[in-house]
Amino acid sequence: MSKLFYDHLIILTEVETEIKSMAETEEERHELWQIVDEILHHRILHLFLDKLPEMHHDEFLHRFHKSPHDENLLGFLNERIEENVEELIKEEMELLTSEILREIRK
Amino acid sequence: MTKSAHKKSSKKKLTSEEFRQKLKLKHLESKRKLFEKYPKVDKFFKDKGIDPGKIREHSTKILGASAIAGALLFSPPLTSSALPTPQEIIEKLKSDKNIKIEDKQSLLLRNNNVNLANSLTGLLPKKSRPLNRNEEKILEQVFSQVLGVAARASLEGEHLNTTYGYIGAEQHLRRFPGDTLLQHAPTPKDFGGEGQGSGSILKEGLAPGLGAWGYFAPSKDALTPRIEEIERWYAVVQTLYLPDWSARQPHLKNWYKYRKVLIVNIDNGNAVVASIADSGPAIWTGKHFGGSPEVMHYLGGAKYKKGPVIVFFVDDPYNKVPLGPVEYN
Repeated sequence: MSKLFYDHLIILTEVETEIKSMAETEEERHELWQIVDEILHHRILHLFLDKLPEMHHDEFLHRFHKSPHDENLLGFLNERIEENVEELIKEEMELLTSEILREIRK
Repeated sequence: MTKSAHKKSSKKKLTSEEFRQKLKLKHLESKRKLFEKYPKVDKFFKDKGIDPGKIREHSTKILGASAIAGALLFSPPLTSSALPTPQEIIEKLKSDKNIKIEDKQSLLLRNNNVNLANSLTGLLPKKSRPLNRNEEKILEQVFSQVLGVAARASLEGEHLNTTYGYIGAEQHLRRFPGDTLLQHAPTPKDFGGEGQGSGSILKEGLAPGLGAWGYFAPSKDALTPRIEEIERWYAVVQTLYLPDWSARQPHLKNWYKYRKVLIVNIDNGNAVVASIADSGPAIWTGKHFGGSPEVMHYLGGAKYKKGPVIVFFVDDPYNKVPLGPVEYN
């Protein structure tokens, strides 16, 4: 179930594959998934604030806190950010994927 | 990509604990960068008593509260008034069947699949989302009368976070210590055996880790035909994201263990009864369910990796419903 308005744009399949290949138990797998989940929220929030003009930051934070699942938030951001927000999220997730995979292969 | 990624990680032999430590460092770094650049965000979330990394849990609580309020206050949503009744759908399936079918069983089955898929497409929203109770009730009746399976969105008070979402391909699970991929090769009497080539069933490989309930049997000698069927036709659901998953242990873990579910591919009407044997996939994969190689092969063919499905619990108190493909009434 989508709990966050950007969930449908988050695809980290390769990271999941790596986790599944490493975690020996369900608990380990879930813990790793949870850490990745938290990282991506930090990164996405950082991205939004970087791209959104500062005058809209407070309104965005209040709306996001009140209804994190509200799909209208994507429209809110797209109206105020010059670039395509969906594309920005995808690019950020690709970057995150490559960073995590690099850590694994170091 | 999946296989090459796996090979590379195997070479490095990074342990789960080493990876966890690296991820934790990355977690701290992402949080520090966010709060250093935007201290007001730190203050905002602290004032609200929330960690931004745990925004999903916060959202779960809000949605849970909304669902309770909705159940108490709302009448059925307006969209459901335009839905056909279950009887209308079933009558349509029957009439279409009579028009198109002569006496060939395969044609009958294929047309019924297509008709069911067409009906589901008209019934379901284009974008997958949790269905409302009315939508689920209609589907329950359709599945009961068309497929002959007593399927329930809610069973004994339990409900998945969503019953309509995307299923993805999973690997075989190790059934006992020492199990190997080749031991999962179907025999000629099994699905994927004779004439279909066991290669397509084996190509997904064997999962490195165990399923959510560990080994299915303590040894190869303890393996039974029933256990083989459970692994052959297994499903994966996101139990870990259930709002009360942690609070209601061990009850929920026991309740979900090998629980039968009906999975219907809404694109072609193919349906299979599977047994829940693992939890996942992670929410950031764009998928909501998983299926064993056999499940996926039956639902969409040898190359089927991901697609939209309905997943309902099977109401089978006497364990009479066999696992595997569902044939039409």
